[in-house]
Amino acid sequence: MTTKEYNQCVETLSDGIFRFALKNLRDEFEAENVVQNTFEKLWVRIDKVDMSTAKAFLFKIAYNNSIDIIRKSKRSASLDDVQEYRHSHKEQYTDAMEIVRKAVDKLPDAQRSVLMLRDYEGYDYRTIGEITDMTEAQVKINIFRARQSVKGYIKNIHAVI
Amino acid sequence: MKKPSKEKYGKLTGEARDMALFDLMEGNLPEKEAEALLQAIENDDEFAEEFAALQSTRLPEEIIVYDNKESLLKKKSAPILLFTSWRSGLTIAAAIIAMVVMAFPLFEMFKDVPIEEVSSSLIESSESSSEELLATQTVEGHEESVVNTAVFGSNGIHDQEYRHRASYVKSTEISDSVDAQKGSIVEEDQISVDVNVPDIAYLDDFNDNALFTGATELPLSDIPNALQQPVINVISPVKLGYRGLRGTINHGLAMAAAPFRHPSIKINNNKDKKDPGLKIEVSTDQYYAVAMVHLFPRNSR
Repeated sequence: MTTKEYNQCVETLSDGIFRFALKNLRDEFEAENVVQNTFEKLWVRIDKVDMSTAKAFLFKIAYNNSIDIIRKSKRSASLDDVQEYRHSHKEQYTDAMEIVRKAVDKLPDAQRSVLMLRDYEGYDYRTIGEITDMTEAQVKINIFRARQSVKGYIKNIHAVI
Repeated sequence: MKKPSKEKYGKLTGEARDMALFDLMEGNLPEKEAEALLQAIENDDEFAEEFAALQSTRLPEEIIVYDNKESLLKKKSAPILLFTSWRSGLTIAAAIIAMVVMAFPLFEMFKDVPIEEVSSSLIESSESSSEELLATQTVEGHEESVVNTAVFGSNGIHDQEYRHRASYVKSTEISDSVDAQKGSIVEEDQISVDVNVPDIAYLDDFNDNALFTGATELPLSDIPNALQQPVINVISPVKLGYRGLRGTINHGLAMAAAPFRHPSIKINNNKDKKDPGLKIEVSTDQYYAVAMVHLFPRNSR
C-alpha cells in the first residue's frame, strides 16, 4: 500500500471506524484513541497490507482494541453511560432511529459488533467471523439474537407508547 | 429436491419461524425457499407483521463524521521502517549492528569508546539531528531501512511524543540495569564481530497487540492504550555479535521501554549452555515482556 492509498483509507474509512468504536465503547475519547491506534497500526504495516484487505484489517484492529478496552473497563451497558456525541452527525435522528439506536446500545458487545459490521459495513458472515474471531455459525446466531433483541425492544417501546 | 411449500412455513412456530424470517431477511434462503416463504407471509397477517418487525431491526444509516482525519494523514512517502517487521526494540539493536557490519561510519565511533558512552553519544546524536536514513538493505524481498529513530516522528505528527521518548532514553534506570551486566557480558567477550542479519527472525507473526509495536510509533495519546495491551512474551531469536552490544541493546531497550512509564528493566545473562544469551525483561506494575537475545559464543562461527 502506498502513502496515497493509506490516506485514501483515512478519508474513506475513518468515519466508519470511528462510528464502530464509538458505538461499541460509548466513549468519545476512547473511540478516538481506537481510531488513532488503528490507523497507526496500518501505517506501521503499510508494506504488508493490501488496499483490497485494508478495510477488514482496520475493522479487525478496531474490534480487538475496543474489546480490550471494554474488558478492562468492565463497562456496563447502562444507558446512563451513553455520552452525547460531539462529532458531526449529518442527519437528524428520527424517533424510530433513536429507538433502534437505544436498542443496539443495550445489546451484548459481541452482538452489537456483528450487527454493526453486518448492517453498516455490509460484510458477509465469513468476513465478520474473520474480524471477530468467530465461526460463521457464531456470527449468524449472534446477528439473529441481536435482531430478536432489537425487535423485542422496539415492540415494548411501541406497546408503552 | 422437494419444492418448498407455503404450508411448510405456515406451520412453523416460535424460534423456527423467527429463524426462517431471519434467513429470508438476511438473504440466506435459496430462491425457491424464499418465494415460498414470501407467499406464506402474504397469506398470513401475523406472519407479515412479524416480518415487518424484523425488518425494522436493520440499522438505519447513521453517518458519524470523524473530525480529526487530518491528524491521521501522512504527508511524506511511507517510511520503510525496520519496525514494520522488526517489532521489538531489540531488533533495532540488531539493525544498528547490521549497519556497523556494513562498515557504516558509526562503527568507528563505536569501536574504541566505552560502551556506556557509545550509548549516550548515539542517543545524543539522535536527539539533536534531523531525520536521517542510516542504512538500507533488502532481506527476503523486503527493503528495510534504518532511520534515526529518536527523531523519526518529525515527519509525522509525533514530535512531542519523541521528545517524551527521549526523556526515557536518558533514563539512568536503563543504563544502570545494563551496567550491572558489565562483567558477565563484556569481560567474557563472548561476542564476535560476526552477525548474520538474515538470521533475524521477523516478528511478523505477533498479533497486533504486540507489546513492542507500541514502542515504535505510538503517539502520546495512545500511551494509555499501550499500557492496556495484554502481556506478550517476546522470544526473539535475534543473533547478535558485536562488541558494542551493550550500547545497542541499551538504545534498543530505551526505544522499547519508551511508552511505559517507569518501566523496570532487567537484563540477565542466561548462562544455560543450551540457551545462552541475554534474558531481557521489561515490565511495569501492570505489564511484563521478556525477550531473549542469543549471542554467538566466541569462535563458534
